[in-house]
Amino acid sequence: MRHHFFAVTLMSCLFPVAAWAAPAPASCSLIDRETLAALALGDAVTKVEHKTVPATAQAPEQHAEVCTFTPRVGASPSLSVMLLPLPGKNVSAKPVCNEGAVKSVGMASCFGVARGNMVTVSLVSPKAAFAGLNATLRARFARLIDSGAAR
Amino acid sequence: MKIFSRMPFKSLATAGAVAMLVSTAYAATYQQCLPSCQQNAQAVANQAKISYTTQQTNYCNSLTDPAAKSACLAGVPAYAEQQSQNVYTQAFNACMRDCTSV
Repeated sequence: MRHHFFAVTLMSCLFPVAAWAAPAPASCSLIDRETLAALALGDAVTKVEHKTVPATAQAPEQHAEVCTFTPRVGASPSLSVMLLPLPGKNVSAKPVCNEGAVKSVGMASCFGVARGNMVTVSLVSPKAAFAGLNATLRARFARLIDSGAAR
Repeated sequence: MKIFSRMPFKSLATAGAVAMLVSTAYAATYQQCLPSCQQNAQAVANQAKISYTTQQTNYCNSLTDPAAKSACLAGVPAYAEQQSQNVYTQAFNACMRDCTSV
C-alpha cells in the first residue's frame, strides 16, 4: 500500500516534468522568446495546427505545420509560422519580407528556406502599432532563418 | 458582503438598474454592430487573401529547384486561407471595438 502511494506520488511529479521536457513543435520553436517579447507577444499563447496540402499534378500530398502566437489577453498582434517541407535537395533562397495594409489592419510576411523547409512568418496587427512591429520582424527574420537552418 | 450591507437599499437598487441599462444598451449596440463588422472583416480578409497568394506565389517562383517550386506553389492556398482567417479576426475585433465604443 505504501509502495503504491509512493509510485502514484512519483508519477504525479514526473508527468509535469515530462510535459515540460517535451520538445516544442518545430514551427513554434523557430521563434525565440526575445523575438516574441519584441513583438509584444511575451505572454503569448500558442496554437499548433497540421494542414494537409492536397497533391497536385506536379507535387505529392504534403503536411504543413502552423504555429500561431496570440496574446493571452486580446487578439492583436498575431504571429504565425508555417513550415512546409520542400522535396528538393539543398534548396536555398534569399529571405524576403513584404508588408501591406488593408483598411485598419497591417500585414507583414517574411519568406525563407531553412533545413529543407519553406518558412513563412506572418504578422497581423492594427495599423496603429504596425510600423514598429514590422520593423522588428524584418530585422530579426534573417537571423531566425539562419539559426533555424543551423539547428 | 460588508460594503453592500452598509449601502442603503435605494442606492443599491439604483446602481443595479443603471448596470442593467448599460448592459442592455451594450448588447443592443453589439447586435447593431455585428452584421456590418462581419461584412467589413470579410471584405478585408478577402483582399488579404489575394495579397498573401500573390506574395507567396512570387517567392515560390523564385525557387530554382523545380520540385521545391512545385511543392511551394501547392502550399499557397493553405497558407493564404490560414492567414486570411487571422486577418478576419483582427479586422472584426477592431471594428467591433470601434463600433461599440461610440
